Amino acid sequence: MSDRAKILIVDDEPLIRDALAFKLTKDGYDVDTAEDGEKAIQKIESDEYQIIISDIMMPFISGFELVKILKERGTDAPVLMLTSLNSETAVLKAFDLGADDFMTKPFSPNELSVRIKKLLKNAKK
Amino acid sequence: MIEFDNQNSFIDVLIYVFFFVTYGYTVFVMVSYLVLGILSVVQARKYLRRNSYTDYLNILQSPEAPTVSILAPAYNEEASIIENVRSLLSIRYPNFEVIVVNDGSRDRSLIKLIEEYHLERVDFAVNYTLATKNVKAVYKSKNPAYNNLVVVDKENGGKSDALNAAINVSTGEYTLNIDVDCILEEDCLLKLMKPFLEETEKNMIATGGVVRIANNCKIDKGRITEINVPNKLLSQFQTLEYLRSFLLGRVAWGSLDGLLLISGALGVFQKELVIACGGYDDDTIGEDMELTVRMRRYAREKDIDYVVGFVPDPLCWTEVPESWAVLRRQRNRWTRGALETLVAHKRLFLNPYYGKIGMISYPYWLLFEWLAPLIEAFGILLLVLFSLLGVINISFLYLFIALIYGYTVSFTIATLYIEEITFFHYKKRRQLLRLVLAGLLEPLIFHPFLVYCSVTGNWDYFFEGKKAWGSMKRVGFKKPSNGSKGRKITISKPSPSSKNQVRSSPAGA
Amino acid sequence: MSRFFTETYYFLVALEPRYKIVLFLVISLLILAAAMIVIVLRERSRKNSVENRERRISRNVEPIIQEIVFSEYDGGEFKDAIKKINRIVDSALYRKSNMAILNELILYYHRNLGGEAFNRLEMLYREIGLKQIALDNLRIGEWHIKAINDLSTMRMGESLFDILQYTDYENQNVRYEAQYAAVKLGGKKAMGFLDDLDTPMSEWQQIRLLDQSLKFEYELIDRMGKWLRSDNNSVVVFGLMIMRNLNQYHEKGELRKLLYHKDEKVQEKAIDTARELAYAECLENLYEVYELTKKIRIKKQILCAMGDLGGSKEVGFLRETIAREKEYDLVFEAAQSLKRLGRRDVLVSYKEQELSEKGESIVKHILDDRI
Repeated sequence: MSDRAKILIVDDEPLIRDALAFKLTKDGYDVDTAEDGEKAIQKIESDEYQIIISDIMMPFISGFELVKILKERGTDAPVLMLTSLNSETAVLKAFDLGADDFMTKPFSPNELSVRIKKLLKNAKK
Repeated sequence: MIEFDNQNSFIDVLIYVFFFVTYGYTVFVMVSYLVLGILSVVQARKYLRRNSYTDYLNILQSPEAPTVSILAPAYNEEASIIENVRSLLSIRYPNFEVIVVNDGSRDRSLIKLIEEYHLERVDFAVNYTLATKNVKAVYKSKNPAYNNLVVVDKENGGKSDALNAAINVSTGEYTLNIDVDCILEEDCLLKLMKPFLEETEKNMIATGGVVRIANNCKIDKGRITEINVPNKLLSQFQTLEYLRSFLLGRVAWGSLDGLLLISGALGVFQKELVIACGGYDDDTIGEDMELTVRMRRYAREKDIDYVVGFVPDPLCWTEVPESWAVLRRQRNRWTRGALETLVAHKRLFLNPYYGKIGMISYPYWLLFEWLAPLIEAFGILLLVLFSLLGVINISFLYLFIALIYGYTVSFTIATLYIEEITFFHYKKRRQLLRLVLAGLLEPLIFHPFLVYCSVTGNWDYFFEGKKAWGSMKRVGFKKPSNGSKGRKITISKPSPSSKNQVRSSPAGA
Repeated sequence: MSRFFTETYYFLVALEPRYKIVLFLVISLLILAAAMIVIVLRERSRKNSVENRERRISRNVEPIIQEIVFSEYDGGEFKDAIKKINRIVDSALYRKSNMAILNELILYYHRNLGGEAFNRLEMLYREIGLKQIALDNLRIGEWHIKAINDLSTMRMGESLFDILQYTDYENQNVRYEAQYAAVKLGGKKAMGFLDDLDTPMSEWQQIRLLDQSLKFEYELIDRMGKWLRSDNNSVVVFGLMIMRNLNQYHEKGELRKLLYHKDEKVQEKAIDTARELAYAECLENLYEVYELTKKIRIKKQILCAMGDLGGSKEVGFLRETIAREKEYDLVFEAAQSLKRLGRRDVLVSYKEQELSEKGESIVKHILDDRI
């Protein structure tokens, strides 16, 4: 069993999913993607992920709902919200619902890597 | 053509005048459609070009974006209300709220909402700025993810009443009124608000968008994933009709600022103004058209330099009746609704005080939209009569009819062509050909039917005083056969009393 | 057979003119309809092939772009990647359209990825020749707006001079786009055009310029004073937006004057700005304006401001307003302000009959934290 952390990327835009998957695979993680909240939940139920990166504005089950659902289920994988919304309301709402970190698009891939590392480190403790 | 057997017999003159008027009228109508068509294409292309490089992200991220309240009246929608509300909540816009008004439904709509969205009653102080039926309770969600959802439970009062109640409860500067069974594009608010934000000279009071037909489209998670042409011929006829009326009609009128009607399925209004002119009118069936006209009048009378915008983009998808009976009731209702508005605002007719609306839009609607089917029906009647009397020249008549047929078919083909070069929604070749086929049959089957509906509508209005809503059997959105859940068919019971249905409002013919 | 044709011919010729006209029209319409159908079907296949090409190019170019953006490419590897891309997009007939596809792809990535990725994408944009294409379009073609937009999105600062030529172009849309690009590429120095702008600036443009301005962080913007004193109301409103969102404290005197501005919109924004900047000294002015104005909106705004600026005097005023005022919106706003000031105790302290029924329900509403 490899020691690589497993990451789930949830975003409705395929180019973003691909780009993130590419980058994070390069960084040495095991990456999986889901195109909306519902599929994400299915994947989380069947597999274990060390960290989840999710967009907010997705059809049907928004990122906000996803976070709430995951926290209610007791998923202890940290959730990082990655979204175009940058209003204070959105940030507060995300953390209120249980998100562990928040980044706005356009985002720096390097910054993302660093934050992921930190979240994983904290989760291990 | 007309054989004058003696010098200017009175009947002969009459017949001559009649034919002159009928032919002249028809030609005028055809030419006006042509003009409107050309105008629409130009506008639609211009819009598409601008849209391709517009970055809506600025609005999406701006703290200064205006606040919008989405008004969603609902009656007996338990089959689909959860999904519909969900798709409303996922619209992309920074600062908006969704207000669902349960207009005294007799099914489990409210219960379903309460369960799904974890609603609880709150001590909302409702301000009855607009008089409505009693609000029983206001609900908000315990889940912060749904904190922009407000559900209002009230006594049944009809669609206008429900909309007014939603306005009373709303906090946004602008209101988007929709039919809760329609599917909205996720960027619709961004696109609809753009005209308001771009207008510098005048006061933009309202904006409308294009409504398309969702029958047979694949719907996944409240979004249209695949656009298809409807299967049933009747729906195909309506597809053509909507294409013509929206793509060619309203875009043109919108660009001229002559729109008399903003569809009740999709319209954004300045809330303050809506309240100032009294909100939606309870007494009419065509409340969307009536409000638009009334707002224009109000603005004019208050000397506000105003404009009404239109976004040529298809932002809303609705289902249309698939049975002739239901269609007949719908069109009958539309006719009566339009009549009510026309009568209520007859002051506008050729009244220069009201500018374009009085001098062009209203007369056009009166003489060429409302009157046209009646003239047609009357004309056909007289033709049959005259031909029996051997008074007219049949061959020319046949030829003229062939001309009209040819024109209508060409116009339909032109519409399809314009759709191709603008939005290009119908990708499958076979489906396009089916539309062409429908176009060939339409003047022979569908059009006479519409004339019939219009005639009965007028009859009902003038002679039977029917001002009430009928009932409408609704087919839920059919889900694709890939295993997703289908929706139940909702059959609404017919009711003798007025206004307990909240249905799609007239989109105009 | 030929008899049939000749008979038909003579028949047609013998017709009256109006028959001829109508017949002619019918036939031409039918031909027109048939022609349109044919055109439509041919357009389709053309569009299909374009789409297929697009998909192919995207699929092939994406991984290369991803490599460039996310890896540490040195000069040689970078040149190789460019060559690879060139090979993909190069084509005798379709180069222009392929480049357009590539353009959109790069712009898309640029909108979503920041930091180091920006630099890499921009370098790619320059090297692959897209920048030159945009500049050409700007100078010669009619696609001014798209070209300006692209250049500003990709932060091609060196094209600033070319773009500045268009900041007072006749076409309003081009003008707006150029102004936006000028600010994006040139920073606050490029905002000089606002000083003597005599045409109204749309809210859309204001929002966009504000969006760009937020990147200046909280540097001092000296020109703002000029804007606040401008005759052009939209510039004043924009100035207030800047003041409010970028915490510009240095024009408080001017702000005070704007509280009395004749234009309702300006007045509203000025009050809101005072609130955001916690400008408590202008409270006395606010009371004055409250008395003078007849507009409910302005009053509402003032009551709202008190919710952030107020002290004990305001608490009293708000309390009175709730008890006396008939207008629902004003009572509501006053109650909300009291709550924001943390004075729930005042809200619950009303005696029996002191409040109207409406007032009571409003207070109850405000006290309900779930709403």
